[in-house]
Amino acid sequence: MASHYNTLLRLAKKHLEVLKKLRVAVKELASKSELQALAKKLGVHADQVARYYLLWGDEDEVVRFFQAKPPPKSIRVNTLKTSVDELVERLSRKGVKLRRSDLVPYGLIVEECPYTSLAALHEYLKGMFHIQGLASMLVVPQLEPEKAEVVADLCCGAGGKSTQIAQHNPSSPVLAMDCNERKLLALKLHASRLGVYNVVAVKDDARRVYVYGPFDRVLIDAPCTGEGLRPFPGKAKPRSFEDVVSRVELQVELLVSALLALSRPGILVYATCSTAVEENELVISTVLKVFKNVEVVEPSIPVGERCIAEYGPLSFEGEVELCRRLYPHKQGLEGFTIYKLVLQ
Amino acid sequence: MLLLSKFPKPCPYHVVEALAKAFSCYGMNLLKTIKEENIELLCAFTPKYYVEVFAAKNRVHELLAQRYEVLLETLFSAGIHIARLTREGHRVILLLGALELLRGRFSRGYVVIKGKGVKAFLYGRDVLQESIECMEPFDSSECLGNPVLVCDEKKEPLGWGRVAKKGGRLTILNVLDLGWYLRCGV
Repeated sequence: MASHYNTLLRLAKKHLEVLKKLRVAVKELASKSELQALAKKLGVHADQVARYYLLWGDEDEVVRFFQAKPPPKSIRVNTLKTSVDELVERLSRKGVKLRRSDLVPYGLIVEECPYTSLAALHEYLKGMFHIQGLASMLVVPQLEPEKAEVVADLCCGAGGKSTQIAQHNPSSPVLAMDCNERKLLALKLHASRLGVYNVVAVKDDARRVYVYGPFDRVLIDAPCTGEGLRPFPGKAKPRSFEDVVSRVELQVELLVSALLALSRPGILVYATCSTAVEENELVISTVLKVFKNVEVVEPSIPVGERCIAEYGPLSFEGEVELCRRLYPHKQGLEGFTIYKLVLQ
Repeated sequence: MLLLSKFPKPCPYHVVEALAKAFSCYGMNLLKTIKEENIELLCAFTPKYYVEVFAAKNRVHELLAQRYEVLLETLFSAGIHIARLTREGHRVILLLGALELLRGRFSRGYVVIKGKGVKAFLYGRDVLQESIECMEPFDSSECLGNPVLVCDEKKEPLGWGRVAKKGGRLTILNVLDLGWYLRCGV
Protein backbone atom coordinates (compact mmCIF):
# COMPACT_ATOMS: atom_id res chain seq x y z
CA MET A 1 0.00 0.00 0.00
CA ALA A 2 2.84 2.39 0.85
CA SER A 3 4.39 2.01 -2.59
CA HIS A 4 0.99 2.56 -4.23
CA TYR A 5 0.58 5.71 -2.14
CA ASN A 6 4.03 6.95 -3.12
CA THR A 7 3.38 6.26 -6.80
CA LEU A 8 0.09 8.14 -6.78
CA LEU A 9 1.66 10.98 -4.89
CA ARG A 10 4.51 11.28 -7.35
CA LEU A 11 2.04 11.41 -10.23
CA ALA A 12 -0.14 13.95 -8.46
CA LYS A 13 2.71 16.26 -7.50
CA LYS A 14 3.78 16.55 -11.12
CA HIS A 15 0.54 18.46 -11.70
CA LEU A 16 1.57 20.99 -9.07
CA GLU A 17 4.13 22.35 -11.51
CA VAL A 18 1.39 24.80 -12.52
CA LEU A 19 2.13 26.68 -9.34
CA LYS A 20 5.18 28.12 -11.06
CA LYS A 21 2.98 29.71 -13.72
CA LEU A 22 0.62 30.98 -11.07
CA ARG A 23 3.45 32.45 -9.04
CA VAL A 24 4.63 34.47 -12.02
CA ALA A 25 1.12 35.82 -12.59
CA VAL A 26 0.64 36.70 -8.92
CA LYS A 27 4.02 38.38 -8.52
CA GLU A 28 3.52 40.36 -11.70
CA LEU A 29 0.18 41.62 -10.50
CA ALA A 30 1.49 42.26 -6.99
CA SER A 31 4.26 44.48 -8.34
CA LYS A 32 1.75 47.00 -9.73
CA SER A 33 1.81 50.21 -7.77
CA GLU A 34 -1.97 50.48 -7.34
CA LEU A 35 -2.17 47.00 -5.83
CA GLN A 36 0.79 47.66 -3.61
CA ALA A 37 -0.90 50.83 -2.35
CA LEU A 38 -4.09 48.91 -1.73
CA ALA A 39 -2.21 46.20 0.15
CA LYS A 40 -0.57 48.81 2.35
CA LYS A 41 -3.93 50.43 3.04
CA LEU A 42 -5.48 47.09 3.96
CA GLY A 43 -2.49 45.95 6.02
CA VAL A 44 -1.95 42.80 3.97
CA HIS A 45 0.73 41.35 1.73
CA ALA A 46 0.64 42.53 -1.89
CA ASP A 47 0.52 38.87 -3.00
CA GLN A 48 -2.78 38.45 -1.16
CA VAL A 49 -4.36 41.43 -2.87
CA ALA A 50 -3.07 40.11 -6.20
CA ARG A 51 -4.50 36.66 -5.60
CA TYR A 52 -7.94 37.90 -4.71
CA TYR A 53 -7.87 40.35 -7.57
CA LEU A 54 -7.15 37.35 -9.84
CA LEU A 55 -10.14 35.64 -8.25
CA TRP A 56 -12.67 38.46 -8.64
CA GLY A 57 -11.16 41.07 -10.97
CA ASP A 58 -12.88 43.69 -8.85
CA GLU A 59 -10.97 45.93 -6.45
CA ASP A 60 -14.08 46.77 -4.42
CA GLU A 61 -14.76 43.10 -3.82
CA VAL A 62 -11.18 42.63 -2.68
CA VAL A 63 -11.55 45.50 -0.21
CA ARG A 64 -14.84 44.11 1.11
CA PHE A 65 -13.21 40.73 1.67
CA PHE A 66 -10.25 42.09 3.59
CA GLN A 67 -12.37 44.46 5.64
CA ALA A 68 -15.08 41.95 6.52
CA LYS A 69 -16.33 41.98 10.08
CA PRO A 70 -16.16 38.80 12.13
CA PRO A 71 -19.30 36.67 11.86
CA PRO A 72 -21.43 36.39 15.01
CA LYS A 73 -20.55 33.72 17.56
CA SER A 74 -22.47 30.51 17.35
CA ILE A 75 -22.93 27.32 19.30
CA ARG A 76 -23.84 23.79 18.38
CA VAL A 77 -26.52 22.22 20.56
CA ASN A 78 -25.42 18.79 21.72
CA THR A 79 -28.54 16.85 20.82
CA LEU A 80 -27.15 13.80 22.64
CA LYS A 81 -27.93 15.58 25.91
CA THR A 82 -30.57 18.20 25.25
CA SER A 83 -32.86 19.71 22.65
CA VAL A 84 -32.56 23.04 20.87
CA ASP A 85 -35.75 24.28 22.56
CA GLU A 86 -34.57 23.32 26.01
CA LEU A 87 -31.19 24.93 25.62
CA VAL A 88 -32.66 28.13 24.20
CA GLU A 89 -35.00 28.34 27.17
CA ARG A 90 -32.27 27.71 29.71
CA LEU A 91 -29.83 30.18 28.24
CA SER A 92 -32.50 32.82 27.65
CA ARG A 93 -33.26 32.76 31.36
CA LYS A 94 -29.62 33.62 31.94
CA GLY A 95 -29.82 36.62 29.62
CA VAL A 96 -28.21 35.01 26.57
CA LYS A 97 -29.99 36.09 23.38
CA LEU A 98 -30.02 33.37 20.76
CA ARG A 99 -31.34 33.06 17.24
CA ARG A 100 -31.88 29.75 15.49
CA SER A 101 -29.82 29.17 12.39
CA ASP A 102 -31.59 28.62 9.06
CA LEU A 103 -28.68 26.51 7.90
CA VAL A 104 -28.13 24.01 10.69
CA PRO A 105 -31.02 22.64 12.78
CA TYR A 106 -28.91 22.45 15.94
CA GLY A 107 -27.00 25.69 15.34
CA LEU A 108 -27.71 28.79 17.43
CA ILE A 109 -26.39 32.26 16.74
CA VAL A 110 -25.43 34.20 19.84
CA GLU A 111 -26.74 37.72 19.47
CA GLU A 112 -26.00 38.84 22.99
CA CYS A 113 -24.19 37.28 25.93
CA PRO A 114 -23.75 38.99 29.29
CA TYR A 115 -20.91 36.64 30.22
CA THR A 116 -17.27 37.13 29.34
CA SER A 117 -17.13 33.69 27.83
CA LEU A 118 -19.74 31.21 26.63
CA ALA A 119 -17.59 28.48 28.15
CA ALA A 120 -18.30 29.91 31.61
CA LEU A 121 -21.94 28.89 31.30
CA HIS A 122 -22.87 25.83 33.35
CA GLU A 123 -24.66 24.39 30.35
CA TYR A 124 -21.33 24.35 28.51
CA LEU A 125 -19.62 22.53 31.36
CA LYS A 126 -22.49 20.03 31.45
CA GLY A 127 -21.86 19.32 27.78
CA MET A 128 -25.11 20.72 26.45
CA PHE A 129 -23.44 22.69 23.73
CA HIS A 130 -20.14 23.15 21.94
CA ILE A 131 -18.76 26.44 20.66
CA GLN A 132 -18.45 26.11 16.91
CA GLY A 133 -18.69 28.34 13.86
CA LEU A 134 -21.74 27.93 11.64
CA ALA A 135 -19.73 27.37 8.48
CA SER A 136 -17.77 24.68 10.29
CA MET A 137 -21.06 23.00 11.27
CA LEU A 138 -22.06 22.77 7.59
CA VAL A 139 -19.24 20.34 6.81
CA VAL A 140 -20.22 17.21 8.75
CA PRO A 141 -23.75 16.68 7.31
CA GLN A 142 -22.18 16.40 3.83
CA LEU A 143 -20.52 13.21 5.02
CA GLU A 144 -23.98 11.61 5.55
CA PRO A 145 -22.64 10.19 8.82
CA GLU A 146 -25.95 8.61 9.88
CA LYS A 147 -25.43 5.79 7.39
CA ALA A 148 -21.73 5.35 8.08
CA GLU A 149 -20.14 2.16 9.35
CA VAL A 150 -16.71 3.57 10.22
CA VAL A 151 -15.64 7.19 9.93
CA ALA A 152 -12.18 8.75 9.84
CA ASP A 153 -11.73 12.38 10.83
CA LEU A 154 -8.28 13.52 9.76
CA CYS A 155 -6.45 16.42 11.39
CA CYS A 156 -9.25 16.35 13.94
CA GLY A 157 -7.70 18.92 16.30
CA ALA A 158 -9.71 19.29 19.51
CA GLY A 159 -12.56 17.24 18.04
CA GLY A 160 -15.24 19.76 17.14
CA LYS A 161 -16.21 17.85 14.01
CA SER A 162 -15.49 14.41 15.51
CA THR A 163 -18.02 15.06 18.25
CA GLN A 164 -20.44 16.52 15.71
CA ILE A 165 -20.19 13.30 13.69
CA ALA A 166 -20.94 11.37 16.90
CA GLN A 167 -24.00 13.54 17.39
CA HIS A 168 -25.31 12.35 14.01
CA ASN A 169 -24.27 8.77 14.62
CA PRO A 170 -23.60 7.84 18.26
CA SER A 171 -22.84 4.19 17.51
CA SER A 172 -20.44 3.87 14.59
CA PRO A 173 -16.77 4.32 15.50
CA VAL A 174 -15.13 7.62 14.58
CA LEU A 175 -11.37 7.38 14.26
CA ALA A 176 -10.06 10.86 14.97
CA MET A 177 -6.44 11.37 13.94
CA ASP A 178 -4.06 14.17 14.78
CA CYS A 179 -0.32 14.39 15.36
CA ASN A 180 -0.70 16.97 18.14
CA GLU A 181 -0.95 15.32 21.55
CA ARG A 182 -2.29 18.41 23.26
CA LYS A 183 -5.16 18.64 20.82
CA LEU A 184 -5.94 14.97 21.30
CA LEU A 185 -6.08 15.55 25.03
CA ALA A 186 -8.56 18.36 24.39
CA LEU A 187 -10.55 15.97 22.19
CA LYS A 188 -10.58 13.38 24.96
CA LEU A 189 -11.96 15.96 27.39
CA HIS A 190 -14.58 17.21 24.93
CA ALA A 191 -15.73 13.63 24.32
CA SER A 192 -16.14 13.20 28.06
CA ARG A 193 -17.92 16.53 28.51
CA LEU A 194 -20.26 15.96 25.55
CA GLY A 195 -21.01 12.34 26.43
CA VAL A 196 -19.55 10.85 23.24
CA TYR A 197 -18.76 7.13 23.51
CA ASN A 198 -17.72 6.33 19.97
CA VAL A 199 -14.71 8.49 19.20
CA VAL A 200 -11.31 6.78 19.09
CA ALA A 201 -8.41 9.21 19.23
CA VAL A 202 -5.22 8.25 17.40
CA LYS A 203 -1.92 10.08 17.56
CA ASP A 204 -0.37 9.79 14.14
CA ASP A 205 0.37 11.69 10.97
CA ALA A 206 -2.92 11.74 9.08
CA ARG A 207 -1.06 11.04 5.85
CA ARG A 208 -0.77 7.49 7.15
CA VAL A 209 -4.55 7.02 7.26
CA TYR A 210 -4.39 4.46 4.45
CA VAL A 211 -2.76 2.11 6.98
CA TYR A 212 -5.82 2.31 9.24
CA GLY A 213 -8.53 1.83 6.63
CA PRO A 214 -10.90 1.00 5.16
CA PHE A 215 -13.45 3.63 6.06
CA ASP A 216 -16.71 4.31 4.32
CA ARG A 217 -16.56 7.98 5.35
CA VAL A 218 -13.52 10.21 5.57
CA LEU A 219 -13.45 13.83 6.62
CA ILE A 220 -10.42 16.01 6.01
CA ASP A 221 -10.48 19.43 7.61
CA ALA A 222 -7.11 20.12 6.10
CA PRO A 223 -4.38 22.22 7.74
CA CYS A 224 -4.43 25.47 5.79
CA THR A 225 -3.62 29.15 5.91
CA GLY A 226 -6.97 29.89 7.55
CA GLU A 227 -7.56 32.81 5.22
CA GLY A 228 -11.29 32.39 5.72
CA LEU A 229 -10.86 33.26 9.38
CA ARG A 230 -9.20 36.58 8.65
CA PRO A 231 -11.94 38.71 10.25
CA PHE A 232 -11.34 37.14 13.65
CA PRO A 233 -8.93 38.92 16.01
CA GLY A 234 -5.39 37.64 15.66
CA LYS A 235 -6.10 35.70 12.47
CA ALA A 236 -5.36 38.37 9.87
CA LYS A 237 -1.77 37.52 9.02
CA PRO A 238 -0.12 38.98 5.93
CA ARG A 239 0.67 36.01 3.68
CA SER A 240 3.00 35.85 0.75
CA PHE A 241 2.30 33.52 -2.18
CA GLU A 242 4.98 31.15 -0.88
CA ASP A 243 3.28 31.05 2.49
CA VAL A 244 -0.07 30.14 0.93
CA VAL A 245 1.30 27.36 -1.24
CA SER A 246 3.49 25.93 1.51
CA ARG A 247 0.62 23.72 2.63
CA VAL A 248 -0.59 22.60 -0.80
CA GLU A 249 1.70 19.59 -0.96
CA LEU A 250 0.56 18.44 2.46
CA GLN A 251 -3.08 18.85 1.42
CA VAL A 252 -2.49 16.75 -1.69
CA GLU A 253 -0.73 14.09 0.39
CA LEU A 254 -3.64 13.97 2.85
CA LEU A 255 -6.20 13.70 0.08
CA VAL A 256 -4.36 10.92 -1.74
CA SER A 257 -3.97 8.90 1.45
CA ALA A 258 -7.60 9.51 2.41
CA LEU A 259 -8.87 8.31 -0.97
CA LEU A 260 -6.77 5.16 -0.62
CA ALA A 261 -8.36 4.55 2.79
CA LEU A 262 -11.89 5.05 1.47
CA SER A 263 -13.94 1.95 0.70
CA ARG A 264 -16.34 1.68 -2.21
CA PRO A 265 -18.84 3.18 -2.19
CA GLY A 266 -17.54 5.85 0.13
CA ILE A 267 -17.86 9.56 0.78
CA LEU A 268 -14.98 11.90 1.43
CA VAL A 269 -15.47 15.49 2.46
CA TYR A 270 -12.55 17.83 1.98
CA ALA A 271 -12.93 21.16 3.74
CA THR A 272 -10.69 24.07 4.63
CA CYS A 273 -11.29 27.30 6.51
CA SER A 274 -9.58 28.93 3.57
CA THR A 275 -10.83 30.79 0.53
CA ALA A 276 -7.52 30.34 -1.27
CA VAL A 277 -7.97 28.68 -4.66
CA GLU A 278 -4.49 27.17 -4.27
CA GLU A 279 -5.64 25.20 -1.22
CA ASN A 280 -8.94 24.05 -2.65
CA GLU A 281 -9.65 23.92 -6.37
CA LEU A 282 -6.02 23.30 -7.21
CA VAL A 283 -5.70 20.48 -4.66
CA ILE A 284 -8.89 18.76 -5.81
CA SER A 285 -8.03 19.20 -9.48
CA THR A 286 -4.55 17.77 -8.90
CA VAL A 287 -5.81 14.67 -7.15
CA LEU A 288 -8.64 14.05 -9.62
CA LYS A 289 -6.00 13.70 -12.32
CA VAL A 290 -4.74 10.51 -10.65
CA PHE A 291 -7.99 9.15 -9.24
CA LYS A 292 -10.32 8.47 -12.14
CA ASN A 293 -13.11 6.77 -10.21
CA VAL A 294 -13.88 9.71 -7.96
CA GLU A 295 -16.97 11.80 -8.57
CA VAL A 296 -17.35 15.34 -7.28
CA VAL A 297 -20.86 15.82 -5.96
CA GLU A 298 -22.24 19.26 -5.25
CA PRO A 299 -22.72 19.72 -1.48
CA SER A 300 -26.28 20.29 -0.37
CA ILE A 301 -25.58 23.63 1.26
CA PRO A 302 -28.17 26.30 0.42
CA VAL A 303 -25.80 29.26 0.72
CA GLY A 304 -22.47 30.19 -0.78
CA GLU A 305 -21.08 30.00 -4.26
CA ARG A 306 -19.70 27.32 -6.50
CA CYS A 307 -15.97 26.98 -6.90
CA ILE A 308 -13.81 28.56 -9.50
CA ALA A 309 -13.24 27.36 -13.07
CA GLU A 310 -10.57 29.88 -14.00
CA TYR A 311 -7.92 31.50 -11.86
CA GLY A 312 -5.25 33.53 -13.58
CA PRO A 313 -3.36 31.18 -15.89
CA LEU A 314 -5.09 28.13 -14.42
CA SER A 315 -8.31 26.51 -15.53
CA PHE A 316 -10.00 23.57 -13.85
CA GLU A 317 -12.16 20.73 -15.13
CA GLY A 318 -15.91 21.34 -14.91
CA GLU A 319 -16.55 19.12 -11.89
CA VAL A 320 -14.06 21.08 -9.78
CA GLU A 321 -16.64 23.88 -9.71
CA LEU A 322 -19.00 21.64 -7.75
CA CYS A 323 -18.13 22.80 -4.25
CA ARG A 324 -19.29 25.44 -1.83
CA ARG A 325 -17.38 28.60 -1.14
CA LEU A 326 -18.40 30.70 1.83
CA TYR A 327 -17.12 34.21 2.44
CA PRO A 328 -17.31 36.40 5.55
CA HIS A 329 -18.20 39.48 3.50
CA LYS A 330 -20.93 37.74 1.47
CA GLN A 331 -22.60 35.12 3.63
CA GLY A 332 -21.59 36.53 7.02
CA LEU A 333 -19.95 33.22 7.91
CA GLU A 334 -16.35 32.13 8.40
CA GLY A 335 -14.67 31.63 5.05
CA PHE A 336 -14.82 27.96 4.14
CA THR A 337 -14.52 25.78 1.08
CA ILE A 338 -16.25 22.41 1.12
CA TYR A 339 -15.93 19.56 -1.36
CA LYS A 340 -17.82 16.26 -1.38
CA LEU A 341 -16.19 13.40 -3.24
CA VAL A 342 -17.78 10.02 -3.84
CA LEU A 343 -15.72 6.95 -4.63
CA GLN A 344 -17.58 4.70 -7.01
CA MET B 1 -0.84 10.00 30.79
CA LEU B 2 -1.10 9.91 27.46
CA LEU B 3 -0.44 7.13 25.07
CA LEU B 4 -1.81 3.97 26.66
CA SER B 5 1.04 1.65 27.36
CA LYS B 6 -1.16 -1.38 27.19
CA PHE B 7 -3.86 -1.70 24.59
CA PRO B 8 -7.38 -1.31 25.99
CA LYS B 9 -9.27 -4.58 26.05
CA PRO B 10 -12.52 -5.67 27.67
CA CYS B 11 -12.07 -5.33 31.40
CA PRO B 12 -11.40 -8.46 33.42
CA TYR B 13 -14.08 -9.69 35.76
CA HIS B 14 -12.56 -8.39 39.00
CA VAL B 15 -12.39 -4.86 37.57
CA VAL B 16 -15.99 -4.95 36.34
CA GLU B 17 -17.05 -6.26 39.72
CA ALA B 18 -15.24 -3.48 41.56
CA LEU B 19 -16.76 -0.86 39.26
CA ALA B 20 -20.26 -2.32 39.58
CA LYS B 21 -19.89 -2.18 43.36
CA ALA B 22 -18.75 1.44 43.21
CA PHE B 23 -21.64 2.48 40.97
CA SER B 24 -24.16 0.58 43.08
CA CYS B 25 -23.30 2.92 45.95
CA TYR B 26 -25.15 5.58 43.96
CA GLY B 27 -28.08 3.30 43.20
CA MET B 28 -27.03 2.52 39.65
CA ASN B 29 -26.85 -0.94 38.13
CA LEU B 30 -23.75 -0.66 35.97
CA LEU B 31 -24.14 -3.96 34.15
CA LYS B 32 -27.73 -3.19 33.19
CA THR B 33 -26.78 0.28 32.02
CA ILE B 34 -23.91 -0.78 29.80
CA LYS B 35 -26.06 -3.47 28.26
CA GLU B 36 -28.87 -0.98 27.55
CA GLU B 37 -26.45 1.53 26.06
CA ASN B 38 -24.43 -1.03 24.03
CA ILE B 39 -21.31 -0.01 25.88
CA GLU B 40 -18.20 -2.05 26.57
CA LEU B 41 -15.84 -1.34 29.45
CA LEU B 42 -12.27 -1.31 28.20
CA CYS B 43 -9.24 -1.51 30.46
CA ALA B 44 -5.74 -0.29 29.76
CA PHE B 45 -3.00 -1.22 32.19
CA THR B 46 -0.54 1.60 32.80
CA PRO B 47 3.10 0.95 33.75
CA LYS B 48 2.49 1.73 37.40
CA TYR B 49 -0.23 0.06 39.36
CA TYR B 50 -3.32 1.58 37.84
CA VAL B 51 -5.94 0.41 35.41
CA GLU B 52 -7.55 3.08 33.27
CA VAL B 53 -11.16 2.30 32.41
CA PHE B 54 -12.91 3.58 29.31
CA ALA B 55 -16.56 3.25 28.36
CA ALA B 56 -16.98 2.92 24.62
CA LYS B 57 -19.65 1.71 22.24
CA ASN B 58 -19.51 -2.00 21.39
CA ARG B 59 -18.58 -1.24 17.81
CA VAL B 60 -15.58 0.73 19.00
CA HIS B 61 -14.32 -2.37 20.73
CA GLU B 62 -14.87 -4.35 17.53
CA LEU B 63 -12.86 -1.79 15.57
CA LEU B 64 -10.02 -1.88 18.07
CA ALA B 65 -9.94 -5.66 17.91
CA GLN B 66 -9.98 -5.73 14.10
CA ARG B 67 -7.29 -3.05 13.68
CA TYR B 68 -5.26 -3.97 16.71
CA GLU B 69 -1.87 -4.11 15.02
CA VAL B 70 -2.06 -0.68 13.40
CA LEU B 71 -3.53 0.96 16.49
CA LEU B 72 -1.19 -0.66 19.01
CA GLU B 73 1.39 2.12 19.08
CA THR B 74 -0.80 5.09 18.23
CA LEU B 75 -4.07 4.70 20.12
CA PHE B 76 -4.58 7.69 22.41
CA SER B 77 -8.02 7.16 23.88
CA ALA B 78 -11.30 5.39 23.18
CA GLY B 79 -14.75 6.52 24.28
CA ILE B 80 -15.01 8.17 27.68
CA HIS B 81 -12.45 7.78 30.44
CA ILE B 82 -14.66 6.92 33.41
CA ALA B 83 -12.47 5.53 36.15
CA ARG B 84 -9.09 4.55 37.46
CA LEU B 85 -8.47 1.58 39.70
CA THR B 86 -5.56 -0.01 41.46
CA ARG B 87 -4.74 -3.22 39.64
CA GLU B 88 -6.19 -5.38 42.37
CA GLY B 89 -9.39 -3.36 42.13
CA HIS B 90 -9.23 -2.37 45.76
CA ARG B 91 -9.54 1.33 45.18
CA VAL B 92 -11.86 2.80 42.56
CA ILE B 93 -11.53 6.44 41.54
CA LEU B 94 -14.54 7.61 39.57
CA LEU B 95 -13.68 10.42 37.16
CA LEU B 96 -15.74 13.18 35.53
CA GLY B 97 -16.55 10.77 32.70
CA ALA B 98 -18.41 8.56 35.19
CA LEU B 99 -20.90 11.38 35.78
CA GLU B 100 -22.08 10.81 32.23
CA LEU B 101 -23.09 7.24 33.02
CA LEU B 102 -24.69 8.27 36.30
CA ARG B 103 -26.73 11.12 34.80
CA GLY B 104 -30.41 10.38 35.46
CA ARG B 105 -29.59 7.04 37.11
CA PHE B 106 -28.48 7.82 40.67
CA SER B 107 -30.72 7.62 43.70
CA ARG B 108 -28.41 7.84 46.72
CA GLY B 109 -24.96 9.00 47.77
CA TYR B 110 -25.56 12.48 46.45
CA VAL B 111 -25.91 16.04 47.67
CA VAL B 112 -27.93 18.78 46.01
CA ILE B 113 -26.41 22.24 46.14
CA LYS B 114 -27.98 25.52 45.15
CA GLY B 115 -27.42 29.19 44.44
CA LYS B 116 -23.92 30.56 44.99
CA GLY B 117 -22.76 27.15 46.06
CA VAL B 118 -23.07 25.87 42.49
CA LYS B 119 -20.85 28.65 41.18
CA ALA B 120 -18.34 28.17 43.96
CA PHE B 121 -18.20 24.43 43.43
CA LEU B 122 -17.68 24.81 39.68
CA TYR B 123 -14.81 27.17 40.46
CA GLY B 124 -13.12 24.40 42.38
CA ARG B 125 -14.16 25.58 45.83
CA ASP B 126 -15.88 23.94 48.74
CA VAL B 127 -19.58 24.40 49.38
CA LEU B 128 -20.85 25.85 52.65
CA GLN B 129 -23.83 24.62 54.60
CA GLU B 130 -26.18 27.40 53.47
CA SER B 131 -25.82 26.22 49.88
CA ILE B 132 -26.68 22.62 50.64
CA GLU B 133 -30.28 21.92 49.64
CA CYS B 134 -30.48 18.29 50.68
CA MET B 135 -28.53 15.07 50.92
CA GLU B 136 -29.34 11.46 50.22
CA PRO B 137 -26.82 9.30 52.07
CA PHE B 138 -25.26 6.01 51.05
CA ASP B 139 -27.22 3.04 52.27
CA SER B 140 -24.24 0.83 52.96
CA SER B 141 -21.30 1.34 55.26
CA GLU B 142 -19.09 -0.10 52.52
CA CYS B 143 -19.77 3.02 50.45
CA LEU B 144 -18.76 5.49 53.12
CA GLY B 145 -15.24 5.81 51.73
CA ASN B 146 -16.63 6.97 48.34
CA PRO B 147 -17.06 10.62 47.41
CA VAL B 148 -20.62 11.94 47.17
CA LEU B 149 -22.05 12.90 43.82
CA VAL B 150 -22.63 16.65 43.83
CA CYS B 151 -25.52 17.88 41.71
CA ASP B 152 -27.61 21.00 41.27
CA GLU B 153 -31.31 21.49 41.88
CA LYS B 154 -32.09 19.96 38.50
CA LYS B 155 -30.26 16.82 39.70
CA GLU B 156 -27.66 17.36 37.01
CA PRO B 157 -24.23 16.11 38.12
CA LEU B 158 -21.59 18.74 38.79
CA GLY B 159 -18.80 16.63 40.23
CA TRP B 160 -17.54 14.74 43.25
CA GLY B 161 -17.23 15.90 46.83
CA ARG B 162 -16.68 14.81 50.41
CA VAL B 163 -18.92 15.64 53.30
CA ALA B 164 -17.07 17.21 56.19
CA LYS B 165 -17.66 19.34 59.22
CA LYS B 166 -15.72 22.59 59.34
CA GLY B 167 -16.12 24.77 62.39
CA GLY B 168 -19.18 22.77 63.38
CA ARG B 169 -20.88 23.38 60.03
CA LEU B 170 -21.52 20.95 57.24
CA THR B 171 -19.27 21.50 54.22
CA ILE B 172 -18.91 19.75 50.90
CA LEU B 173 -15.23 19.56 50.10
CA ASN B 174 -14.54 19.78 46.41
CA VAL B 175 -12.84 16.66 45.04
CA LEU B 176 -13.43 17.13 41.31
CA ASP B 177 -15.87 19.34 39.43
CA LEU B 178 -16.95 20.04 35.84
CA GLY B 179 -15.11 23.37 35.95
CA TRP B 180 -11.94 21.34 35.65
CA TYR B 181 -12.68 21.02 31.93
CA LEU B 182 -11.79 24.72 31.67
CA ARG B 183 -9.22 25.03 34.43
CA CYS B 184 -7.05 22.16 33.20
CA GLY B 185 -5.70 24.56 30.57
CA VAL B 186 -5.83 22.21 27.61
